[in-house]
Amino acid sequence: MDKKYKEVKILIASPSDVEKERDIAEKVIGNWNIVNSDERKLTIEPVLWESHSAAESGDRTQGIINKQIVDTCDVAIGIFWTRIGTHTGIVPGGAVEEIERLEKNNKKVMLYFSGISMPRHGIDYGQLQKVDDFKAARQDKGDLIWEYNDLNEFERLLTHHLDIQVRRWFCEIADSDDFQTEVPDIFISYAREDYERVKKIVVVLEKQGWSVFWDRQILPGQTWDDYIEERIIDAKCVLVLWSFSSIDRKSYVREEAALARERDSLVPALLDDVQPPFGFRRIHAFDLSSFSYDKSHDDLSQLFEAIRDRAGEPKKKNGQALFSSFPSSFHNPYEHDAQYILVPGGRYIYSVTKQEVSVPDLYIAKYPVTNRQYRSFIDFLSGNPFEFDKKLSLSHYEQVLRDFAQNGGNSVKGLSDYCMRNVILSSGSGRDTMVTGSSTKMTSRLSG
Amino acid sequence: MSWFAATAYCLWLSLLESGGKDTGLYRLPKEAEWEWAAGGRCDKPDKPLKARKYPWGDTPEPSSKYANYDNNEGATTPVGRYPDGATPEGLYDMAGNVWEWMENLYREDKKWKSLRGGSWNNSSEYLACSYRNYGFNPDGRLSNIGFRVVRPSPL
Repeated sequence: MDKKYKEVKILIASPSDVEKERDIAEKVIGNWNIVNSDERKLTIEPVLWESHSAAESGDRTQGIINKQIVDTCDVAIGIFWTRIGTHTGIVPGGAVEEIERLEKNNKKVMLYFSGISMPRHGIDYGQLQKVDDFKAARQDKGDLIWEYNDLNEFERLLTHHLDIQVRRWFCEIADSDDFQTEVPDIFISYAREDYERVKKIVVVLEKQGWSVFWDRQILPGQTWDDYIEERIIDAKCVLVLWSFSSIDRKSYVREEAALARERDSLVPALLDDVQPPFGFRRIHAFDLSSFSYDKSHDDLSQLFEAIRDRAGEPKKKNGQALFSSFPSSFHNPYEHDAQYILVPGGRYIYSVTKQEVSVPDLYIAKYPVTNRQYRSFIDFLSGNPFEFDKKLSLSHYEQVLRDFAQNGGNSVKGLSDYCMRNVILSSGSGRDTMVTGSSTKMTSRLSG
Repeated sequence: MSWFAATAYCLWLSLLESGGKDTGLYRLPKEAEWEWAAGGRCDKPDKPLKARKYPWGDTPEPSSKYANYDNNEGATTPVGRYPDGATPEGLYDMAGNVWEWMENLYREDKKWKSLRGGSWNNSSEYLACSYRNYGFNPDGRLSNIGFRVVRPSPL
């Protein structure tokens, strides 16, 4: 590695029951380095107990480890499930001590709590209670902590946070004109349950050219309330998305909407067929309940108009999706963790037309599809799906494929006939070689 | 691997991830997107750009260090074998190994689908980012045609 690269050490502080998460964290950091190190001139070194603490005896084991490693770290990632760890005499649990020690030295901390269920007989309730206490204390302090319910979610969150926080904390100079440091045009207030629907709206708004603040996942290490309040006050337009979840009396969306109303930056819209809470009914709310990413967005023109009144004309060029608030790579669990890399869009002279064309931001697979990946698809078509395939039935897939082939326009004309007739086929020998047409050892019939 | 099968695979990925709801999460790249990904340059934001000559840069000219082509290996190679031939963003095997199916037709009045990137048994001229194959029938399969998936929608 180039010696000029800045080094950031990240301590992975966790008790013994989240071993898988530690492995994932190490992998996520490794991937960050592969994708970003050269561009950012920065490498991240994960610091784990096993790999860094020399065997040494002394008065208090944790004390020695602290001196050896914790003090040299710049960031701590804390991960907790059912155990708090070994009591060291100062605070309960080594991981907690590590985190607090770093914090005292003004280092950054990101905290994750697992919601994965565990058989009751495996739980030490004393330990579990201490984890809950620690979490509650952190919440009271106003720290943003994050929860995950499966390992994929943990990986996705951590990848996302790492990407954004490392840029924010350690790449300030290089990124002075970065989207994240600008005041966003639009702040979106929504309930966390609506995340999947909201992100599609974000893309449409970013496509128009507005910058959007919406990602509450990016905030570990920040004091939640103050930070959000500041963002709302900065924003020229606050898009409040009312839904079954966000109209709830306890929802923070109400509070945020009230602040926006006070500042006359409020633009409300409905994600579900609900009535906005009392006090918010006089302002017309746009109906987004039938919004779909696939549809054309003519029906959004009025909403755009209302946003424009407050946020002004979009600054960036139309026609490009801007994924600036999304991670720079991800792994697709349905393709044996095949990696996709964000290739930022741009304009260039396209060799075919000799004209300038605009290309949107895209995630592009790092490699062509391999035999191993394609094999999963064949297995699915043969009625032998993997565990995770079970949320999609073969009959549903076939139905959608037929509709897609018939209604998909020119580009898939013929696919329909093809599906009816046969044969989605072929698998080669090496698992990392690409699927091609050379060998047709396996065939599978799509029932027509 | 026919174009139809590649398209059916992308649809499968989309449906898997969206629980059967969204057909558009994954697809094949369009030629203009592929060319940009293989050779676009981002360092001069205000000027019209051309793609680099090759994924790894305008120079050096191709050699067996950068890609699998010209029957050097006599077959496809496992992905990732040519790190020196990767793009700055980290896309591997854009040049050589297998031709990659594009989403679009080669010409509107033809039914051939475009292919890009050259392959293990084609000569070095086909490795250029801008090189355009005549395309191939969408139900056709050859031992030097594969595909790469793109995701146009965010996470």
